Amino acid sequence: MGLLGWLTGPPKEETSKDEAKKRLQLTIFHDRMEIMELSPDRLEALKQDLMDVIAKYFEINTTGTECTLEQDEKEVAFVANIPVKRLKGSKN
Amino acid sequence: MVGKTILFTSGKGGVGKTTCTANIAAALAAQDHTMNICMIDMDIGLRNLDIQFGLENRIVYNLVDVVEGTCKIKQALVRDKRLPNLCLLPSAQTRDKSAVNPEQMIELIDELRTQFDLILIDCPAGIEQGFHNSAAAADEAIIITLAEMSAVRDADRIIGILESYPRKINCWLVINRLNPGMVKTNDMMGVDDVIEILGIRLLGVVPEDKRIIIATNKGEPLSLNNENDWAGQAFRNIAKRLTGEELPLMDIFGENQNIFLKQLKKLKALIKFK
Repeated sequence: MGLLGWLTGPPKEETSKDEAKKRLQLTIFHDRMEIMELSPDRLEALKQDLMDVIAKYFEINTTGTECTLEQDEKEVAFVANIPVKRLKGSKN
Repeated sequence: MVGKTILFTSGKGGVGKTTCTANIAAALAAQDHTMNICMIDMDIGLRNLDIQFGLENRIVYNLVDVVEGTCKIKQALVRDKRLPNLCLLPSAQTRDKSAVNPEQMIELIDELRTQFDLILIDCPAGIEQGFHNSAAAADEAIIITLAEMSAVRDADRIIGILESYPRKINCWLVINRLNPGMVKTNDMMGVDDVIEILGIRLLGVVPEDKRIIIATNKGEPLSLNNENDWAGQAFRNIAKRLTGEELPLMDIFGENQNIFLKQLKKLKALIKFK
């Protein structure tokens, strides 16, 4: 333990409260996903459907597509990131 | 008169739905004698709200009798011994949750709305028919939870189900049986942790208090006892907030205590000890 470590004391151990909160947040996240019926398979199918629709209007980069579920305090958000090369039907 | 309907629910059993319903109802009735309040025990087959008020020997008819038309609403209502503006519609003890359906409950509560200012519904545990019967006519919901993992998880589920109802139901949170000592030593989630996870507005925090059990033994809600007690005061504060009063949370952690006073108390304790 260096001087800094000596000054700040030993690293804080995770309390049982912190553990409970972490486990609970993760559990609730998964519960909500299950209730929304978004298993990994369905998520992949959704991603494909989305790309099919977007591909009608844009030329897209299929390898760079990312779909994730993100959670904030209130709700889980579905975030899709689909890189676009160019608008379809445009001259260049 | 168009009475408001408030649902007391939790998902998980044993977190204190009935205790909270009884104590908040009693506090509301005691703080305003002109407010007519009706409690409905929706736990068909497992009747318990009557016990909280010592009314178990006064029940003649019940909720199922009213719904099936065996008697009139008025015949089934049991008036509290102490508070004439507080009534109980007891649940049936010999039937089960399927004895009534949500449509019948909406009809019954619409009738009660013409006679009462406030209708408080004590919901059974679970998310099955008993829950849907209870939530069918609710305008607002008070979600009771403990600062424990399973209770919070189930509360989240209940909030999700209520949010999926086509009718908007305002959700409020009550954290029951909080142990301030355990929160201080980081062995129990605190008020902020639970709010962060559930994301609904807080209505109140009730500290753990053994006098709740004693009050039930006597059949008199603790909130009617005007002593400066922990849980009773917390319930009275919740009742005040429900009627629009803005009140800060009770100082259950002793944070606002004067430092000088604290030292004095310590000194006193020390002297006594010696």
